[in-house]
Amino acid sequence: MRRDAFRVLAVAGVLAASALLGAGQATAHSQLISTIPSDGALLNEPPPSVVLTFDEALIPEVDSISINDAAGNVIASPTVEPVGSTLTVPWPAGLPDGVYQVAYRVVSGDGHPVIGAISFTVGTPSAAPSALDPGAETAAEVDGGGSVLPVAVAAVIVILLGTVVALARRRRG
Amino acid sequence: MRLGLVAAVLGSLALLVNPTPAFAHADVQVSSPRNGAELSVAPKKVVITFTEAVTLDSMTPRLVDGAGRTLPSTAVMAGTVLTITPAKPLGRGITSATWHVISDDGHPISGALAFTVGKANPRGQRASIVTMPRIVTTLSGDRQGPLTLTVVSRAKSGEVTWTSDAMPEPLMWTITGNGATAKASGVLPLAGTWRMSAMLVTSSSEMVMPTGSVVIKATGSS
Repeated sequence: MRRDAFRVLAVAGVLAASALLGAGQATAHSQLISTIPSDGALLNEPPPSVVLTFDEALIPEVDSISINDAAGNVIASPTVEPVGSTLTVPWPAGLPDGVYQVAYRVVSGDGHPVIGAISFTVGTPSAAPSALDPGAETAAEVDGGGSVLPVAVAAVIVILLGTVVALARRRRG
Repeated sequence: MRLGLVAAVLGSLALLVNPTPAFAHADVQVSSPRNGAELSVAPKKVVITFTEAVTLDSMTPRLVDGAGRTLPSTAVMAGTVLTITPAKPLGRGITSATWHVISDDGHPISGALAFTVGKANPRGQRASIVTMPRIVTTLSGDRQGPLTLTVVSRAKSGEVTWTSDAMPEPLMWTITGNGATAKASGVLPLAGTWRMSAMLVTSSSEMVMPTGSVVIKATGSS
């Protein structure tokens, strides 16, 4: 009897914990919700840092960040400690103008790994980024759940880049 | 009684403080047939084992043939094991399976696997994929079926995620590299545009994620 009561309470405790942890858990995975600069941004100056904000607190000491150039070389892989749900990645000094990717792998508080990348352009790259560049945002969550948003964002970026290139050409011509 | 309450509260606190082990997400541990298998005899069923117990979503698991038609089937979820049994024996050619499940911690997980039965079809033309960042990436063919992706990268490991409008559930290929090129193989089961997103792990703390897309033709079309 006493043991049964114990079981019931233990189960209730676990359920309570799940409920606390899982606010909004039925809706989706933990995910990246905003970045500074934004994905696909065209910047005149290098950013002081890249700020990635997720919708859940991150587990410390397990994230990895890579800053990659347009050719896919890893320029830097800084160690960044999350503050709550935010990672602030210092931008390396002295990088040439160009298109850069910031790839991240973090683990949210519920133990769920979140992997993805954003891209943006700093200054005027010597080889102008072509409108061919597909899918600037890469939200490849490891266990999926296809989202339309990244595709839509990528489409907008491609259109914007195309417009910029077209305008630049018209101005030259 | 009071002891039980204390234990329950402590249990809750332990979960809150250290949720990782209890709330790790579910992955596919193993499947039969395995993803990308090239079989000589059609399997009687598709069995997917997850790393933890999952429940079926409202979307029923599906079997799909190479033309994109849904094959009638029944799906049974028992603990960690999902079994999809086709109503009629599977034929030769390409079959894919897709699923939407919910892990214990409430995370929705969708996935797919694909395999072929019988002689492999012609692969068509080698296809170059334009990626961002630009990394030399080629696919061994441009027709639906078994294909190999080759990436010029020193990455030793990683994975490629494929999705298409016809199959939004992610199809994953494992990347292995020799320090100069990295390869991943699998079956692209349907014709149409496939988007790829590769995670190339170049060291324990470095990774690059080239993305791109490729148009895959139907087998038999020119």
